[in-house]
Amino acid sequence: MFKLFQPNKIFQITSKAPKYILLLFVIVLSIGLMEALILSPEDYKQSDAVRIMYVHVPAAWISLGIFSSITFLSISGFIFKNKNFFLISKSLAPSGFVFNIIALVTGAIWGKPTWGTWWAWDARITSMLILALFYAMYLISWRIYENEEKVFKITTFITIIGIVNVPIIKYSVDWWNTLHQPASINILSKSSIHSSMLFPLLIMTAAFALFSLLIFLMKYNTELIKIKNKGLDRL
Amino acid sequence: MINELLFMNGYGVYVLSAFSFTLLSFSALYLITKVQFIKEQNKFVAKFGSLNSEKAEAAKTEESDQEGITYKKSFIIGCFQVLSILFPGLSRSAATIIGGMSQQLNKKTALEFSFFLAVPTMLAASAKSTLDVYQTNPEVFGKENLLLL
Repeated sequence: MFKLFQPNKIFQITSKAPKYILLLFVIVLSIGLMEALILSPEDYKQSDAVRIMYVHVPAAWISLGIFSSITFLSISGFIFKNKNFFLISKSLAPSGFVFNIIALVTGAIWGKPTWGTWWAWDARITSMLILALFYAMYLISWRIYENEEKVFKITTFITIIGIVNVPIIKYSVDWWNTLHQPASINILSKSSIHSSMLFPLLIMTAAFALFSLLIFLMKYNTELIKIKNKGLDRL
Repeated sequence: MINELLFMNGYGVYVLSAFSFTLLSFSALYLITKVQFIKEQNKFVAKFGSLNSEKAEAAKTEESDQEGITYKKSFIIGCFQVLSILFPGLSRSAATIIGGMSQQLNKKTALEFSFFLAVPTMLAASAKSTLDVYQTNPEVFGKENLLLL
């Protein structure tokens, strides 16, 4: 099964895919923006400020998802001694970091009209900030260390400590009394959000996921070409 | 109409700044990764162009031949096996593995080939020794011994 993860086989696909994914992303994003900015209804309490939700929530979801998958990939890379897993997790990280920053900044912009403050040391916001710090540590450690074995160990260490933070982010709104509202979308029970707002939210999530896929593929291609360049040095 | 859309009951500034921040960071990230990709690609092209084309071609064929075993190669490996008859005490397995590696097979393929080569050789060797025993003392193949088998 691991033969399918060999870089040469993957490169044949990934070198062509970004074009089509960029096209798809632009289409889905323009539909999502139409829905989010014009067609969706306004909230009875927050009025039009609710529209910030359509960028804030998907960004937070995807940054959490990317961090969990980075941890999973790093650990399995250690178990199966597969370098390729580390390459994949390295190329996933930048888009996750950017989504995390977007979630923090749009959250601050949303907080001003609704809570009356840009920033509060609230459980969810603080834990999200800690996740951003972990992302930054992860990205920086790839740049600092030259030795491959050392980098693999240190990045896996960072992700294993960082993954403790993810369930804290998820349940911070239930465990503590926070300014941030509890989750309105549940997979198991009925969601407390109306379908007219859920639909644009899902479209924006799809668009954001496509964008992170696009960045991941481009980053991954760059890494593969870097390895090839190293190989050409030896010839 | 457009004014209404932009104003959004007084929240327009917040909503639009949030959306524009998102889109700006998207395009910044896209551009940065694109620039990195193009840089590495140019480096690759420059390096590949500076290589001697014959050398690259040779490297390619070498790579592809590593796995394949031709009749010529297997004949030479067989000659290495003959060495183990000439010098008693020379391991047959080691001789074939070394013979394989001298033919530019990689270690794994050489080991595998030597293993498969053992099958006909061992069959022939045991047939030969059975024949020898039969010729010198045929009473070994009596009824009782065969029943024991």
